[in-house]
Amino acid sequence: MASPAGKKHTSRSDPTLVVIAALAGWLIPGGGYWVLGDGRRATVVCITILITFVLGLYVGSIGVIDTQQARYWYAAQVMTSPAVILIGNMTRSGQFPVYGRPYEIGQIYTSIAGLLNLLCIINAAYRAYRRAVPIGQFEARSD
Amino acid sequence: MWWILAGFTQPLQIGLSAWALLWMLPLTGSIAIVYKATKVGDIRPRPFFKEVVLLFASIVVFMAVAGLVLCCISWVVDNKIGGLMAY
Repeated sequence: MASPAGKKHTSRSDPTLVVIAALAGWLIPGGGYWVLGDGRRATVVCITILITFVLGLYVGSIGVIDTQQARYWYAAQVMTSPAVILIGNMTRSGQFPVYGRPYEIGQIYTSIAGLLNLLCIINAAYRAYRRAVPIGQFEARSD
Repeated sequence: MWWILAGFTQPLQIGLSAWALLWMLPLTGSIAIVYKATKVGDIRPRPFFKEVVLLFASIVVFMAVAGLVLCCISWVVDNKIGGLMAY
């Protein structure tokens, strides 16, 4: 569809869609794509990230969500979902100790799950931005 | 939620054997799937699966080659340079 000025516009032109897509992507992995109507991509991303995260918890127990000793890892883990904050509150007391290889593998799995979700959040926000910004304006900016 | 998490309070027993390296494979699979899901325009099962397998194989082969190179460097440092320096 072309505007009177001759620039093409996409069907949606609400910039808040970018914020909503990013927030939805954080609340539920793949939620950003679901907001944008891309259900298949949302399903693939959601299942993959959740399996990776749960596998990490299975290997290392919920003790790998360590808010005290491993803050940088926790920052990556919390990108998976706000639910990680709740798990972090449970493990804060240190009643789920885990050491050695299970700790490493569990932490790597859960953190990578969070970082993959961060990638998806950014990608969903970018896709929402591409929809929100008039095409002509976007092309002018990308030059 | 609590009863679900109750099943995740004991860690697995994972030894220090070389078999533990196989834990890299599921993670590599996840990375390949999610990365390709963000890259492809339209997700259709067959082309998507092909792309994922290709990326998965590329990562595994590259890591195997990197591991071999590091092993070779370690062997050279241990047996050749270490012998010359007599430690």
